[in-house]
Amino acid sequence: MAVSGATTASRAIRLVGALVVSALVAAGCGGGDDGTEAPNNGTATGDPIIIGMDEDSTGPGASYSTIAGKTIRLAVQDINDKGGVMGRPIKLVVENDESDPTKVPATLQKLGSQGAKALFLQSGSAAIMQAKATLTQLKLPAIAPTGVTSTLVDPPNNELIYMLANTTADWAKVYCGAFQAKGITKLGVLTDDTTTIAALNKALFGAMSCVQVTATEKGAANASDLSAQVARLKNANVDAVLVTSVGGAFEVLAQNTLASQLKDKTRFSLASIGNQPSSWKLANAGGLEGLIFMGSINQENPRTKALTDLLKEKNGDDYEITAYDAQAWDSVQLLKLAIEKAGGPDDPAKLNQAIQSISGYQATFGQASFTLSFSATKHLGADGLCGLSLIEFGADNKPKGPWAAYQPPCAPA
Amino acid sequence: MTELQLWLSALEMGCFFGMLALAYYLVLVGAGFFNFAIGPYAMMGGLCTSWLVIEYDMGVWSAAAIAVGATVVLAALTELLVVRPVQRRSGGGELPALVAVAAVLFAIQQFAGYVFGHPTLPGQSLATFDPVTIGPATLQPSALLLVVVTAVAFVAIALWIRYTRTGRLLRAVGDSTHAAGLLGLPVNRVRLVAFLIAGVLAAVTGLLFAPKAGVNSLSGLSWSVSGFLAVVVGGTGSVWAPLVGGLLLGAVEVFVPYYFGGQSHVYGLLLVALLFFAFRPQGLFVRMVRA
Repeated sequence: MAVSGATTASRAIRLVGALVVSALVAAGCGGGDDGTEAPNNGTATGDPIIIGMDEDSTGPGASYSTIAGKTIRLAVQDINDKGGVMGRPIKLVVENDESDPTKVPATLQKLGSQGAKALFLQSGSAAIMQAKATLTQLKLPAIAPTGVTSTLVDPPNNELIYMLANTTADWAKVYCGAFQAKGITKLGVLTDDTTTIAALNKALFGAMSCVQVTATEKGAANASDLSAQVARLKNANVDAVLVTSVGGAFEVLAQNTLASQLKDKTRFSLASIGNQPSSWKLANAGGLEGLIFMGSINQENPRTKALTDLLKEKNGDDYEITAYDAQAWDSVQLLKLAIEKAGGPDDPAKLNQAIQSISGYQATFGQASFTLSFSATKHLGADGLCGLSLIEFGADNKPKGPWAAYQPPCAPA
Repeated sequence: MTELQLWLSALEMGCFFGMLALAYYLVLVGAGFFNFAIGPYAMMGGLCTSWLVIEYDMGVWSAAAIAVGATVVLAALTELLVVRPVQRRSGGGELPALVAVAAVLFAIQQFAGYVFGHPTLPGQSLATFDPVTIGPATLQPSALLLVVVTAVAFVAIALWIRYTRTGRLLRAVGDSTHAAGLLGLPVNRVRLVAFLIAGVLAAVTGLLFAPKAGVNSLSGLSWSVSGFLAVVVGGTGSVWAPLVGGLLLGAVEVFVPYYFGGQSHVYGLLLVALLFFAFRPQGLFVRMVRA
């Protein structure tokens, strides 16, 4: 018995020791504020207005969805601190569909069942396409803050969904202007394998007849090596390469490999890489130098400047504002405006009409004159091309400013 | 197959797979089963290092030391709290332990996601010299370091197993745990050593490979599969078998998409795995036993 007791005690000590070590490891290696805390009621009183957020905290969309999600929380907290919407605080309920179209209906149903009056959809395009029918079924209006594919707000089932930024159709015009300015006729494409990018590629290249796509190479979104794909692009002797990806590790691996194996070719990318400062650190020294991406942050826009200051105050001086931040901020402000115009959040039809009545909203992204307007037939807010700008990366792997060779024309709205 | 850059990429990938396979090999030899938590150990090594450097401005070497230490603790806990009790209760059964370590794999990934967050973090390079140019090709410092460490690790493990008492005990326990126990050999201690060294190897591999494409909390699963396939291909007949298996898989990973495009390497890897499972399940190197 004594032996058995000693063994049990020894085992218990070992177990406790292991748990203590685990706790120390967790304390030593983790913790901290990641900006995902739910906003509180601030100074607002009354029944909270529940807003649902489909945020990809994991999965291929996490690289951009979490940035927008963090700023949505900040905007909600800012509104609540200033007395809320019509005196009522906004309360966020959050779910995650991992940009998986098959998970979207259940995710939105869950948000609806938690009492959401409107939704923010920060998922991939393919997932949001799937969401449209569910929104109609739930009768909930929704804004896709980071959406850029025009089909998201095209019929059918587009009565309740809205987007802010210029779409891929506008991007195609801008890329074509750039290709013509640089005499680029043969384009190589390096793309990831996500459904989001497959949908985006279809929309983008379908509207880009100005250039011949002579080679398209695909890699897994979690690829560890792209040297074979880049070698094939090199063999195709293209004039320039356009990388289309959701960003994150794939994008930087692609740019590192291109910088190493295709040094003399002009590189273009979508908006993702410019909007993911954390990804820039993944790049090799000078790996992003000369890369041109589709940007929409312009510090000459006074609202962009104000949001930049606020974000730096909240997140630290080294915080780099992105279009995702600005679009997320504007999405919350637009919803607030719509709820006030509708006289409350409880009638979804009135709320939807209120969104459609917003006109000339001065955006926090794009150039100073860039505005957003909606109507029953215009569910894409961007008024003209002023929301876009081609930005070039410098040798320090940070955006250095507008690309000198070409910029989209910006007519007043 | 004339592009030197592709050969260098294949070598880098091969070393990565080979190191993971070596970690598998040690647990397989010492404890007699596949420890599928090797990938998450590697993920923990890379992710914890990056997290400490980014969040706490810690020096890379200090962060790497803490990350390796944390991973070793995880490896020890896997043996002491999961595998050993499960095998004791199941009468030394292999399948329950395999299921248990598979659960550990996902538990570590969830734990890492909770602690470090889900976004991909940039890998931290221990090498600070400029990229090495070899003709038209370039080798990144982290890749060169991985190749060198792989060579050193395989030589060291080969010498350790052949010439040290613990190394010989490892083989004895692996050959027959029951017989080793009857002879009074320290079976539990030897098994624990196998887990600890595997943890060190996996953590170092993860932090050396992370600079190539970053690391996130979900990297562990695919790394586990890659290392496992390298063991399947290489076999367990020699300490060098995991390296051969890894290098072969690295070549498939790079050259198959070069000749067949897109994501054909996935089918290439699947084909290699199926061929080995079907026609040579013992791998390329078979352990020879004198009758």
